[in-house]
Amino acid sequence: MIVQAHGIRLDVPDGWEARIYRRPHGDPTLHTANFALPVDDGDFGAGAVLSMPPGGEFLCLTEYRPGDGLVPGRGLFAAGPLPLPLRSSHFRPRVLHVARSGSFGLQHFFTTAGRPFCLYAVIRPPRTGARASGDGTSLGLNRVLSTVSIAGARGGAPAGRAAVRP
Amino acid sequence: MTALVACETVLLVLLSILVVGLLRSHAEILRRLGRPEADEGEALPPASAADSGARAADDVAGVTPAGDAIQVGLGPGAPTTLLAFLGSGCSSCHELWEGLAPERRDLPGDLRVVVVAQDPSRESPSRLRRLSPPDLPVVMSSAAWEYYGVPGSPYFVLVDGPSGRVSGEGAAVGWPQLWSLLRDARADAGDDADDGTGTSGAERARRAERTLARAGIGPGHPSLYPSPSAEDPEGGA
Repeated sequence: MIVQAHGIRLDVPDGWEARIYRRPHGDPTLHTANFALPVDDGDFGAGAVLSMPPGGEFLCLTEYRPGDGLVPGRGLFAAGPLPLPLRSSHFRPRVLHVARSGSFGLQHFFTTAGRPFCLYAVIRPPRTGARASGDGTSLGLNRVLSTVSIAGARGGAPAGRAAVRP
Repeated sequence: MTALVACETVLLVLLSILVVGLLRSHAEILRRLGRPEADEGEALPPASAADSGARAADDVAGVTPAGDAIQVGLGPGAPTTLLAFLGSGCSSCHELWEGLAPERRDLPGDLRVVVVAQDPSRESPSRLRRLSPPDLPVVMSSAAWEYYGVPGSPYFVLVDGPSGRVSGEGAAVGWPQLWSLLRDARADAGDDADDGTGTSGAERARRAERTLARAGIGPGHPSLYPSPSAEDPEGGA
């Protein structure tokens, strides 16, 4: 089903969950996962990651506010959308907001549609010690990410994507 | 004399018609009560998931009263979920809204509750914000009302987590009534629960009937009605 709010839109697969929210005075954040999400969670999904079952996949997309030296498209946010498909080799055990044995994380800072974002994804393979079945290109995250579209920032920037296929 | 014979003939014909009619209805009754005996080695069609009559749940997606977007997953493997179809202007919902407040809620710990209201075009997001419990998801989705066939609020649908199917539903205007609904739905789900052999209770009953039929044991067979025995310890000897 299509879920959209605050200039972020995606097609959520059957059985997945998603939230697009913005805290008072905060910036838009997307959480989506193939398991039940906590009702209330930190912006980087600490609660979701801790409750992630084997085979779980979690995606967080959170916007940053320009200012105080943060400029869209420069420095940390110079990169463009994440290239797809994601592979299991892209995920690292230490790239986790909350460390958890058996889980692997990926982080990508980028600018799209004139808006700076951080993309944070976590997977927990079905088998202990395994990264994923095969090379991970069959991850549900790849399909979900390919549907994420982001409306342009104020000022008329064109819409953009969080991830693109070559 | 001829008239007498004619009357008797007519009566006999009428009686014959009556008897034939009775025999046909009796045969129909026996046909509906009995099951065809299976030949040795012939398998009857296995029960399908649809035989149970439980329909598949569907994810609930929409906006929250705060204007955020949400999708709640209800497929197989999701938590067992109680969908509470409530309205902000529904007088019968008042007690139910109050009972969902964190300090008053008294529901099984493993039960997830999701409140489903109608679309913003049919509901008041500001009233819903005042009524909504802070720790429960509230989804505004008229599509969900339509999918689950909600006749009006308040209405409840219980989705069994492991199967992703609707295991109970109904209207309840108070918490005692809702508790009764939940209890019945969970008891019914327990009757059909998997016994670990991969079969439902209904399938086990059908299999037992087939086995008895092959052995020539049908309704009314003497072996089904044990008589008191001299060796019965309770009877003593």
